[in-house]
Amino acid sequence: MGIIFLHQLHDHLKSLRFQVSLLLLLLLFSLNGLIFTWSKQQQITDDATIVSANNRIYERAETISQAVQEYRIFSNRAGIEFIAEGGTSWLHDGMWFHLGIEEEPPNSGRFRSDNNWMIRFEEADWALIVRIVLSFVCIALAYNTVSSEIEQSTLSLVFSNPLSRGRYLMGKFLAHLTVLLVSIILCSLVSLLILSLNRAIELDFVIFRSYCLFLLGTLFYLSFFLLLSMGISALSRNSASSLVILIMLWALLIVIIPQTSYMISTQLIETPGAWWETYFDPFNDARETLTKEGVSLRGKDLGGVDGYAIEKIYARRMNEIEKQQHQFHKNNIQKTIYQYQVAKAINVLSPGFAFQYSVESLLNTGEVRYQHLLKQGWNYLATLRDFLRARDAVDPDSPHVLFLADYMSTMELDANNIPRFKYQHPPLSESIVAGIIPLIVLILDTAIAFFFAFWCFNRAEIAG
Amino acid sequence: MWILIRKEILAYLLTLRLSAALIFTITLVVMTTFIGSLDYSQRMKSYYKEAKQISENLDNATTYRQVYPNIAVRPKPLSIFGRGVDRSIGSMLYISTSYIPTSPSWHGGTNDSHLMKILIPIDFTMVVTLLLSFLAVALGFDNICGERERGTLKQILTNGISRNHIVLAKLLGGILTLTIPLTIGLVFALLILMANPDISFSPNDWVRLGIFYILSCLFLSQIFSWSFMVSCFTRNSSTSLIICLFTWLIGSVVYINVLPSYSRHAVEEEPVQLFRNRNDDNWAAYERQMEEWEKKNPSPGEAYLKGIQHGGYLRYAHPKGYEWLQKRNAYSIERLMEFAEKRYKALWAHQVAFAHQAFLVDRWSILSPYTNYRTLTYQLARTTLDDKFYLVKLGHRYRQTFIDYLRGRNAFSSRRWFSDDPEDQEPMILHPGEVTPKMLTADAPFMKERMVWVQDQEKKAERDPRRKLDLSGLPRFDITSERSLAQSLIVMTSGLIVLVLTLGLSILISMYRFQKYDPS
Repeated sequence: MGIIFLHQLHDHLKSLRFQVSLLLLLLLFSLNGLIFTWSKQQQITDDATIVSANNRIYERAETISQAVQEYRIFSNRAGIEFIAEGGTSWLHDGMWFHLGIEEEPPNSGRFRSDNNWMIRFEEADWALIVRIVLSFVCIALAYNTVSSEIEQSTLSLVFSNPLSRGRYLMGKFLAHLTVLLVSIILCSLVSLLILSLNRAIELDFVIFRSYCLFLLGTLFYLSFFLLLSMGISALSRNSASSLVILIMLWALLIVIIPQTSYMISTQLIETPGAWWETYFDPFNDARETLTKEGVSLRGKDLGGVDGYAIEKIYARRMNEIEKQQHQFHKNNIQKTIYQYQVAKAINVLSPGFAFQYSVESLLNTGEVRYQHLLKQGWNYLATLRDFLRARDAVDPDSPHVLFLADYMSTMELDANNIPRFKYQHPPLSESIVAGIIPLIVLILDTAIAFFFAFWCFNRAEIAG
Repeated sequence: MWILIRKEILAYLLTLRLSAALIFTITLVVMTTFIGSLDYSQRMKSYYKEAKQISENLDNATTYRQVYPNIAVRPKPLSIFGRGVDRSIGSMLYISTSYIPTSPSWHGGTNDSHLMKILIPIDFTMVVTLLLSFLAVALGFDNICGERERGTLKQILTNGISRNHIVLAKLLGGILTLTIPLTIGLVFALLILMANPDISFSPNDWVRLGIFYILSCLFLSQIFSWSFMVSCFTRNSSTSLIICLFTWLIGSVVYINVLPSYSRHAVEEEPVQLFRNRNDDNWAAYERQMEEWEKKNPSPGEAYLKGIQHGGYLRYAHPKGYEWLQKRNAYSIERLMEFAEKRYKALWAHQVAFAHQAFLVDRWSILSPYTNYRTLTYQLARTTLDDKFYLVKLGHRYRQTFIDYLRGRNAFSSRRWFSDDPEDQEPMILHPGEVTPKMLTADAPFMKERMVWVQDQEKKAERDPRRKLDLSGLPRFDITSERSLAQSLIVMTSGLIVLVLTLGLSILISMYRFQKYDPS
């Protein structure tokens, strides 16, 4: 086995395909370093303007009543987008919400700029390079592992030695894998070097952890394609047809299946569409019924006569409706997320996306990040309201009609005391939960490819 | 020579590669067009919904401010073949006095979300650029060097046929073979599309489809002759294969994925927040202007303006109040149009970098035959960003005619802008001068009595034909004014020239090289 391994290693290093692949990989990884350096610079200027605009909102609030206004929160980047971008440059990256009742519900939106005019493209991150280019290189290296030896009739020579078929295949496989892993580590170090020299990243524990997780995913993914290629190569016994079948399979798995998921999922799952058209209806209806019952806002001077009894009834009713409408809104958002998850489930049929999604989730980008932003946004809304409620309760002159700005304390408020939002990166446990299913699928894919390769090779006719 | 061509085709037909590719292509074409056709129906549904809403809004409008002659753009059936930016850009042009669009917008009817925008939907060109082009590589890479290795090249040369003829025969044989899966795939696709009642091809679309077919043939010939050329330059097929495979990988998959990412970050853009700040400033300036105006022209008082406010109109206010509102409107609408102009300019100053990035991708797509073919198809299907901008330009022109129409009718300074009251309508408060603010609160007896009167009037108003807004002569947007075939072809010129030139060049180089090829 050792000899087979070394022999194959030697073959690769002097082969044209390996040299071309290495060159291509080097080029792509360097480009990746450059692209993400630029993107980081853009992001720094972008973020500074957004943060200062968001901070101005806090400064506008001089009294408690004025603090019942619209706030905006904004998520930081994970800092490892160069490994797996996961749609970070397209997904909503912030939320805005109004503290008053009868206002729009908390909504997510896009704060950093994104170019909607370009056909959706993927960022040239490491995951993309591995998913598309490296899987192709796997095929290019291994498509004739067995078939060329059958064609040249060297295989029967090899097996005249006391060597089991399993060991032979294992030796070849390990040689392929080593070559690929070494080259990807080499190239990714180039990218890391470019990024860190340009100060786009700091080499810290997070990067190290992400790097290891990325390599883990890559290991399984590359094994899948190597084993598949070796299996097909043994099965077809002819290098040219083995290649055609493999490339067609590759195109199907890596490009075609993932590109159908959008349409299948939009056919299957209905999303709420223009929810804002009906969102306010219950509020308006309630307002109408309340007016008929003689309950309507009277202005601060007139309401003071009976201690704002009518306004309080009004606010209570509106608070109830808000609760119910917030739930409705959350369900709507869940539906859109569900639609995306269905598309993701279709994509996971492709090992490329099983790899993509496991890396994405483990590294905290993509959908995990978006969901976490939503959670934090809703929590922050509650925090801000609690804060204002406590402040309002202290003021004896306040009407205490909560979250109707006109009927709240006009006491002065120091903007610095308002709790500020700080984006928390999702904890590792959450990312593992999100990433475990695609990772298991990926490992299963690899296991199937493993048995497939051995089954094919064991029943292959050795004689040419 | 014909015998040679036939021999080549027959030889190809018997290979495993062709049958494997044929099966893959047809399955995928069927799958893609089927999903594409369902997706098209969905888009048509949302288009109809939107168009209906627009015309309903126009029919129900009773005041000029409710008139929004928005344009819903019908999805093009050819977008199933070349999707272009159709998914990233919406299909609504909002037309109003106070808004100028920079690009078509989304409307509420689409069944997806920002999450779904991460995914890339498939189209017919993808199948051609990926699978059929690979087949072209697989058929072409060992044409000459493979025959040399097997020793059959010598035999052919001894037949006394000129070398140029051999090259041409081999090329034609390969190209004709390649058109078989293309034609079968396209026929299948068309059959599936014809079965969908939502899809109807206009004569113009048929011509475009014909050009698309020729374009696809040319593209496949280009890839085939390139691999053929490589096979003329190499001595053994494994080297030729590696060169062809990697150029295929780089051209078809890597370039498509890396180029946009590169252009997106290489072209610097202004932070979007700067636009938002600028826009807020402009809006504040507008509000200041209005405040100043109201200082100079004080309002006649609440009692004069008291009436019933509905969605877009005011009813039963006092004529004196109307007079003031008319003057105010005439001023504010002009200011709002200025604001719209400023907003458009500020937004464009921000988005111009985006347009650069997107056009950079389209322009540089010429470098790779694969992306060149895709861009050409998009241009043919009119789904490029440039076509959307063309539409926006038409929308701007239409907005101008709409404004001229409103001006011609003196809409801005007329009562009809905000109220559908006829001239002789009795106001809700006959003598506003005698009314105190306390009488105007909702639970005051005076107002309660007046509300009873209003309800009586509302019943009358429902039957009053004079309240209906006369929109005769409202200019309609002419959707057929989109790019004509000739205009599309002009846009495609550079790409077409590159396509034909590289095809011709690779054929000529192959012929030249084959003259000196050593068959042994």
